Amino acid sequence: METNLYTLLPEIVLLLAALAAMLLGMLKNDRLRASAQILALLGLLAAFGLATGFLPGIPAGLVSPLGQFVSVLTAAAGFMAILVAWDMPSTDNPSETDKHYRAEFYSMLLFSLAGVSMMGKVNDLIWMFMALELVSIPTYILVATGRGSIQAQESAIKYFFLGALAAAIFLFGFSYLYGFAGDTRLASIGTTLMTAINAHEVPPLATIGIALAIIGIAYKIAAVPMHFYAADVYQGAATPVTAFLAFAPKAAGFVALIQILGLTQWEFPGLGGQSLIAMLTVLAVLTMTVGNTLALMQRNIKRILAYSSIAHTGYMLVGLVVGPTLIGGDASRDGIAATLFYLVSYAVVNLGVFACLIYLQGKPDSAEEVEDLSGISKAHPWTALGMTICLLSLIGMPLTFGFWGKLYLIQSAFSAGHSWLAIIMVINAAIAAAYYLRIIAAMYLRDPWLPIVPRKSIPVGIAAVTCSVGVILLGVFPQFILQWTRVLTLK
Amino acid sequence: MWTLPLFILAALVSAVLVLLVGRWDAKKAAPTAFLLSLVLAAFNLKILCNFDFATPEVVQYAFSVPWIPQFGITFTLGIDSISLWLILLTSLLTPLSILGSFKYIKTREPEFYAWLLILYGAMLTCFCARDVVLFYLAFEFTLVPMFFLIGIWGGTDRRKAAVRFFLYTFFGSVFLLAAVVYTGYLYYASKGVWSFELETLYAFGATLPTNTQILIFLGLLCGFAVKIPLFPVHTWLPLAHTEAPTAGSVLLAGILLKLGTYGLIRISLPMFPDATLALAPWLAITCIVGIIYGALISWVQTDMKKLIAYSSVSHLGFCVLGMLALTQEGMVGSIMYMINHGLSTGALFLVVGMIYERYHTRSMDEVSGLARRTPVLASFAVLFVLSSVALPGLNGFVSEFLVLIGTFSSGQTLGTTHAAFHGNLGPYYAVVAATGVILGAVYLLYWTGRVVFGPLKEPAHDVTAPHEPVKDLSFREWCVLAPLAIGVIVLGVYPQPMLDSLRQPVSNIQNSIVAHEAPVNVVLPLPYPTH
Repeated sequence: METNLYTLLPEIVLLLAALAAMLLGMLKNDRLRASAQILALLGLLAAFGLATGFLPGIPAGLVSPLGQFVSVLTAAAGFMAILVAWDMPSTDNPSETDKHYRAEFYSMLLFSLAGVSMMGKVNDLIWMFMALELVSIPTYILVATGRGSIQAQESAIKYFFLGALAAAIFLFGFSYLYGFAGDTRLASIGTTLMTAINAHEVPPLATIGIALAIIGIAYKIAAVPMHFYAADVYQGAATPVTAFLAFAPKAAGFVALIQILGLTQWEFPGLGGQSLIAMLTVLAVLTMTVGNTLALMQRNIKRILAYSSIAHTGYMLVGLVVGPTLIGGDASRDGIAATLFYLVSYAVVNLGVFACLIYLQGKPDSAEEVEDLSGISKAHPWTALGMTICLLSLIGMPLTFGFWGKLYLIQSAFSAGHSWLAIIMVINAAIAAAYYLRIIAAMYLRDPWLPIVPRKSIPVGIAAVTCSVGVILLGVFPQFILQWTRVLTLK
Repeated sequence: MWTLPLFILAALVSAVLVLLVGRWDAKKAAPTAFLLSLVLAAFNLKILCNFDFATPEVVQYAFSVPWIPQFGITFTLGIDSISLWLILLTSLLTPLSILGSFKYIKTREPEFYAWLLILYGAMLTCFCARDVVLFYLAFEFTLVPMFFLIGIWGGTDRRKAAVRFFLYTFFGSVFLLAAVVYTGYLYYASKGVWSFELETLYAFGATLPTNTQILIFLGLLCGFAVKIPLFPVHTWLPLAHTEAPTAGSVLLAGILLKLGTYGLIRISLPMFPDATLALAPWLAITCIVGIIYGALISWVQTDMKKLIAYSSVSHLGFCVLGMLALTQEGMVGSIMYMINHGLSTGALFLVVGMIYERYHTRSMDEVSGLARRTPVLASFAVLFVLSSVALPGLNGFVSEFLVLIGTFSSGQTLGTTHAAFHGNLGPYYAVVAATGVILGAVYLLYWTGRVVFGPLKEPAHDVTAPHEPVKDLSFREWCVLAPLAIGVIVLGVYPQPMLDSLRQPVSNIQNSIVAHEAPVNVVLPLPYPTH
């Protein structure tokens, strides 16, 4: 598997598309530069086809189920993300498209997506580090150049410095793992670790290495204690960039965590007693609680969505604490499948919310605060409806996709004996309803006072409609996605 | 077999039709909604006619398709007589509340009636569900239409009322979800497959150890207690009822509160008998506090809707008390109480809505002496007040009396010549609860005396604008109140068919619970038939 380059075909296609888009960005003709968007879409379609098997190219049976899942999810979500970022607005005036189409914007998106897609297939520590950085570094550029305002520059600096710090932390952890196992390949580290666990002689080197790796990757997923950047960066970046940030690094981070924790086969008792599982549990509880309580105090929509993103990371961490079923492959106790299912639902819903928000941001600094959304259900009923559907899914209202995600996580938590974690998660879901409801209440229950100038963009509309309809359809028929995430138990 | 799913689908399709008609002409949305709800009510009557009353405890019109096999969730519907009467109440109150809103709702009519019909479909699903997760889905989903109904078309403080209603109820319901999932997990842990079907879990729940049962029962109670509402988690109710539009208040008081009591009798009681027996006395004390507290607070109200809202707290305390008595009379009385409360309190809200449409105030300080101005409306008001007060001859009396007798005799052995009654409450509970009957009469007759009788006092009107004297009931309003009046009288004079149909299902629930009671001395049978 390691030597067959064809397994990386979707990622290669994405990288080639990214390079082509960057080259297009150097041309003088504006029309040609605009075609970078279409190139990006085509590249993602090709990657999707290759990953799912519609297009031949990947030898069968060589890609792990996790790798295929991540590639398909990335291609699909990336497609929606490009639609959401279509006709990237000018840095000065968001209501106008940038006449000098910045094609390198789309090439950065594609680079980052290639990194996410690669995360499912990494089998080496160095490759994992490289993939994680491939996800992050383009996002630093996206945050810095997406908007002309000083806020974007400030958030880019914060994001970059803290990201570099986090990268240093998890690289340090990786170095300890290498020191412990003598090899960078994940398979051999896993074997060495399992031998040590079974012999009850795990050196602190390994435990610290894994702990540092987890903390470093926690930055990507915006988990406590590495969550401080989220609110400012989400608020300062351009909204299409925020939409991308809210799911791409998160997906990459979670897949990385699954692979790191997979080295231990979730046999935590051997590793420094219960310390690792205690650390993860505390991380999950703190992340959920901090995310939800701080979101209650926010007035800016993107900050609310940032803290809500932190809270959803907390829910997904519960699935990581539970771990997969290793016996018999029964899906119901599979915390990893629950996390991945929640990731899918979060990607769909997140893109839906941001697509609706982008539609409303036709003027600079419009639709920033919750008050700006007052009463838009009268002037823009369909946008309000789409946003409400996605927000109800984030609350976890039945008949939406998000409800099944929460149900799966609660079920897996109870099944593994983590009853208290399930109760805390449930309480947090109830607290979260308060701030989502505030947005819905503003849209429907208040009188309009500020006319919103919409950004008429058909691709954004397509993305919003697809995501909202998807939330309801998958809310009534989630079986297919459940079946898809089910096959991802570790070997 | 497809009757029930088609019924629910018809309700949802009606909502879409109302929206489409509203696009074409917004004023036609209301009559369309009314006609569609009449069609649905007729469909429900047909279900009633084809219901086999010889075996009312058997689940009829059963429908089951597997939905999410990975979790063992199936889309299972079915009704027995308890569900039947509740969905009949729903189908009766919905057209009447639509009809009552014709003049009340003046903006965004199509959406209003569409939300009403969606709420109707959700309530139907909840009463027909035979799968616990499906019940939870419908239970929770009713929050969304109600939120919009209160929040957009409600009174001055509607935003606060809608948000508080949603968050309060949602907070309780998440514990309900946790309890349901935990039960499913325990079933899986012991049997190896997931299942959430009611019958399966009935058999399983009784085998759990008492402490586990109590834990799950309390979790379920969090959700149900907020909905019913039981003291002390009732504080969302007055604001929600006062600020809701008339149709919203009618459906909220008439049906949505019964979702909680229905959940108790359908899920909590039969599935966790040991917990029921252990917690019944404590829960009964909470109910009695609610009865008296609700009545005392109603007494001092000056806002008519708030008065009736607190009276709901008081009445539903009786309902749950009867259920917890675990005697035949108590439980049958409790179910009948649900229906009767829906009729009489729904009617009272409609009457207050009509007063509001005429005077634009709900304050008892500003309006009095209606009997002189609108005698017909006043007569209806007095009829429904007497039904609420439980005057013999009207429906309220039947259920109140049964509940009190059931509570009184709960757990009693009469000397050595009569077999013991089930349950573990007793005369003390009934005596204290009965004071709530007196208090109920106090505040409702006080309301009647001030608002209906007494010297005529109307709020001041703008003397520069043209003003006509307030009219009595129009034909439309007659049509709204008359069916409820007929129901109130018929159920008071001839409740036997309903009571007979409820006996057997209640017996089944009783049998599953009392099998876990401590054994009592069974003594000689009496020469007359016992329960």
